[in-house]
Amino acid sequence: MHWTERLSDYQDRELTPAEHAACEAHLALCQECRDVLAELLSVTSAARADVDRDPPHDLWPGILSQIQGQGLTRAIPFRHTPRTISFSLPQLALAASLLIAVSAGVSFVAAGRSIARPAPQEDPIQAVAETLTPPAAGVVRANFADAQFDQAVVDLEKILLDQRAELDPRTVMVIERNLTVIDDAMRQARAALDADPGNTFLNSHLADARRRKLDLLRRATTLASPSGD
Amino acid sequence: MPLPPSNQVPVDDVARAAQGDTSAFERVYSAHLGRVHNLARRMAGPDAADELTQDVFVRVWQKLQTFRGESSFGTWLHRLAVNVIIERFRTLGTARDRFLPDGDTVLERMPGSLPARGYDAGMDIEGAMKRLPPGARAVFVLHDIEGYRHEEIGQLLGVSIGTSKSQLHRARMSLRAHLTARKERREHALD
Repeated sequence: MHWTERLSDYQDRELTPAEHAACEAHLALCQECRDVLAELLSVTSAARADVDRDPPHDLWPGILSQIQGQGLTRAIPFRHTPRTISFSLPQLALAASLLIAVSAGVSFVAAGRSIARPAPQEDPIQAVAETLTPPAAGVVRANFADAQFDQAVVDLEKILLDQRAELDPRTVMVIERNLTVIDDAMRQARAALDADPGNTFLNSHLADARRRKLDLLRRATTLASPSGD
Repeated sequence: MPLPPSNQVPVDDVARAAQGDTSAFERVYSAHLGRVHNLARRMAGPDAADELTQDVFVRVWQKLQTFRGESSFGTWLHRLAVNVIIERFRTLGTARDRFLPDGDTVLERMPGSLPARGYDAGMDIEGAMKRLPPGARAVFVLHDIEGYRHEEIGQLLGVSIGTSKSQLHRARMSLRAHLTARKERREHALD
């Protein structure tokens, strides 16, 4: 046995008792292995002694800006009301399949593959909170350009935030989880697109994730609206 | 299991932050910033540390309601931070294949024979760690600095215990070789 390859296991006491004894017997006879072991111990000691450093600047403003921009995906206290609305099993199943689809897309992106597919035509989406008041806040159009999409999301999240007390907390939790997953998928897709801006699959995937987010928000606001059930 | 952070956050602040209080969350952030940022810097390098730290705290904000108090808040947050950083590796396509035992390049610079001398206390461990491939560096940081066990590292990185052990050994051997060569150069320059 080449004990040099087992010295980390010896150092960490990961060897069996018999192996440990055999390694010690070898070390008693082998100066080179004793030197290597001493140096490995020094490496570990130095790593553990590596002092923490403060970050060079305050990161809070950037964090605050992100969490304030997320609306629904943040933690907000529930206001309990007698009226509750829950997702049905088929709706939950739909949400689960959405998660699987998003995850599969992200895994594909992470694999770094590139498939040349024609980008789907992006018809403008009408993100409508159909029964909401006031009416001025009801219609949000988005064609997936970043600014328009972001504004549509902000508008819908505001509507939902105002009316979330109408929803069952479990329903809110499901919505939030879905939105978190979609947000993660979009963030990852954007990061991948930074490296490969012309990738049609990635563009399509991002547009699809955006469409799903708008759709989910629209459904949620409909559920939350006074006549949504 | 990693130790809780040195800076403890009042339980009330965690609870308030979970209820949407951003001022309380800022105090949570302040208490844990140092540990999270150092973890990010060691695992991903200084260039990515700021952005990763921000990502971690945004994720903490999103997940605060899922904290059940089954472990200390510091332990919960730290594990979440590790997950966020590893997710980033995967997103960038740098992770899984490099977590697999392909780390022969780690040993490229290892001399065949090394002098029987120890290291200076002030040796440049961080500079040496930057030279490790991401997978080996992640295992080294998690095991030797953060105190995770191989079983936990295997779960976090999605690799076997054996792979975690072999990556750790490769990382240590590479660091040893790099730092010894560095020390020799320094001594040679002084001669």
